[in-house]
Amino acid sequence: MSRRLSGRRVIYIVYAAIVSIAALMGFILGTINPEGMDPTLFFVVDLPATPVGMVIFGVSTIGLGLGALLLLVAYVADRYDDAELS
Amino acid sequence: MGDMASGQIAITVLMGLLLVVVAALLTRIENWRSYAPTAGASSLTGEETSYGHSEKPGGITRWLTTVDHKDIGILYGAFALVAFAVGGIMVVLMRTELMWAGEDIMSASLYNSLLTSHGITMLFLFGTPIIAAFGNYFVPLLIGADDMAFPRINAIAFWLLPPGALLIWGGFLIPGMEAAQTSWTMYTPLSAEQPMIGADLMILGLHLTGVSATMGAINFIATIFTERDEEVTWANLDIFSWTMLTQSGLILFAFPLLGSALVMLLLDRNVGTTFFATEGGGAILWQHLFWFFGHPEVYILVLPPMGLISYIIPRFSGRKLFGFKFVVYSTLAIGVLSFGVWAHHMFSTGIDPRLQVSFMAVSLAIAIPSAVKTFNWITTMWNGKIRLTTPMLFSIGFVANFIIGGVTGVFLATIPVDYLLHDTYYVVGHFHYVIMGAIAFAVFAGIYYWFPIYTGKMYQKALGKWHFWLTMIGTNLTFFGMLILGYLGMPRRYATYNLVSVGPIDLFTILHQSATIGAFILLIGQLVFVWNVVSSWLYGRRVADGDPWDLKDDALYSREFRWHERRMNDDLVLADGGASDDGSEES
Repeated sequence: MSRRLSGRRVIYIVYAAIVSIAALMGFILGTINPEGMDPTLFFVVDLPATPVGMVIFGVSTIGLGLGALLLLVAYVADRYDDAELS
Repeated sequence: MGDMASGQIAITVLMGLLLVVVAALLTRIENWRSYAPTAGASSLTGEETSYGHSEKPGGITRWLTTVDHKDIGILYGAFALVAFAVGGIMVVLMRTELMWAGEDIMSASLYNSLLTSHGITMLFLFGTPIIAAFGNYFVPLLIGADDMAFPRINAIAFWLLPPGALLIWGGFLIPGMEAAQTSWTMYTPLSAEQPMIGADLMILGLHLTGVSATMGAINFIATIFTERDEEVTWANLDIFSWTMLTQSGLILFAFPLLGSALVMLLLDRNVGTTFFATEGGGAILWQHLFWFFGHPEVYILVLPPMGLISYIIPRFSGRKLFGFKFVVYSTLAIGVLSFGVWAHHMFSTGIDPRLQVSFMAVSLAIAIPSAVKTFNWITTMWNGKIRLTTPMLFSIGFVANFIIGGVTGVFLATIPVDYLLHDTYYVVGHFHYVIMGAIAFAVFAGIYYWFPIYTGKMYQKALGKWHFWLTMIGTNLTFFGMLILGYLGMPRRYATYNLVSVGPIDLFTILHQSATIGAFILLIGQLVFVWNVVSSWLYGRRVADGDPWDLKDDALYSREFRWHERRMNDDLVLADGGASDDGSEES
């Protein structure tokens, strides 16, 4: 009950879990390789429709998208947080 | 003729007498549970039995006649959890059928009936009522009201639900009758032409639950506007009450429309009107009316759970909610925008492309206030010191699952992707991530967080954590599999997939089996939950502390626990919400 964890650590774990789910989805879709799957990372880099290519696609898009959100959280929390623990 | 009439009168009188006798007997069954050997720690009365109830009748009569907001909250909660069990068993049967590609353990028509009933049960008999349970019990406590504004209307609203449920489940309960097979969306012309009476009963039952929700919403609005304690201003109204208020506003605009559309559908089915017939308003009219209700319904279901999460996360992060005002504004923004997105369910019907684009724009826009909330939850945790109690675990699970449900939803809101994925398992996976992964998680968080207040006991913590992890793993296994199935083109709402030609059956079988295993894990988790709640309530350790979560350490002690502490100290139960003479706080 009294054991407390750092909030950042918990959020990093959640972030890693969600990015891992994206990686897993990429791996499964890459393995199945359905017809017409043609991954283009950030509309620029063509990736092969293989398990590795799809993992890179999933991890990059979700990791960067949520990573940007996390950076914003860190920025705002450091500068505008008026409820800091004393 | 005369004999027959007098015979009927005699039977009527006899039946009336019988009812009076039964009612009289019920009034004499006082506190029946307390005769058990463990009398001291017993009773599902929702209050501590060591306190007197001089103002309330005993036994079952109390529950049949109560107008106390807390008792009605308990009734709503018990009803909703029974419905959750029924809806859950239905889906376990369906998932078992989907273990194999063919028609194995049930007929396709029974599958269709279960599918219809599962959706309606979970949304209307579990989702809305469990939120009403929290609202009824806690909103008056949080705003310092004596009770709800209209206690009797409150009781009536609840008592419309059981007959509504019986009608909705009537097709299963009445021998020889077939249950509706329309799916929860009841699209015409299918729903107008399906001959079974079970469909009529279901529509009538839905209508009753809609009336119930509307009465409840009027009550919440009146209560929050007029019954607040002097110290509770709009500025320091707690976040859960804000979301209940917004949700009630949505109900007020959405549910009466559903009621009207349902009556029109009933008339089309039984009287030969042509509201939704091709020569009348057309089948698309139903979709417009239904989704004008149906999409706000999504937010009716998600806003108060978001309120719960916004309320609980700060308490186990040791700090106030970050950006409280923005969370309130985003709630209001979602409330307004939710009425402008309904046609994104109808992109594939061929409606005007200009309309499609405008609905896509609003649908994408509604992601912004949702993201604002997520942002605030994460920021609240960021600098916090987190205690991983069961309610907090479910809250963090909510955030994680809501991100997955939300991101998959953003893709669906774009027209080209929707064309591709419409009516596939991707849609099912997406909305279940929100409904099960988020809404139900918040409900569990609320149940555990306030467990000490409404039971006077503490739940078993190890079992609570088992419940969380089984539910988290089960949810992700089930609905992750569905996202992939949908991406591969597996259409939804089918009992079999041996004739599906869009993908390899072996692969579909493996993915369906993993989803089914996930559903079984979920089932085990919920059995743990039921065991935990029932056994802790009956035999659990009595909470001796008015601050079971040590909220005072972080200056986050709130009105409902203050009320709880006062009640414990007073040695008699207040029949009302309790006038507060001490300070309130926000968030």
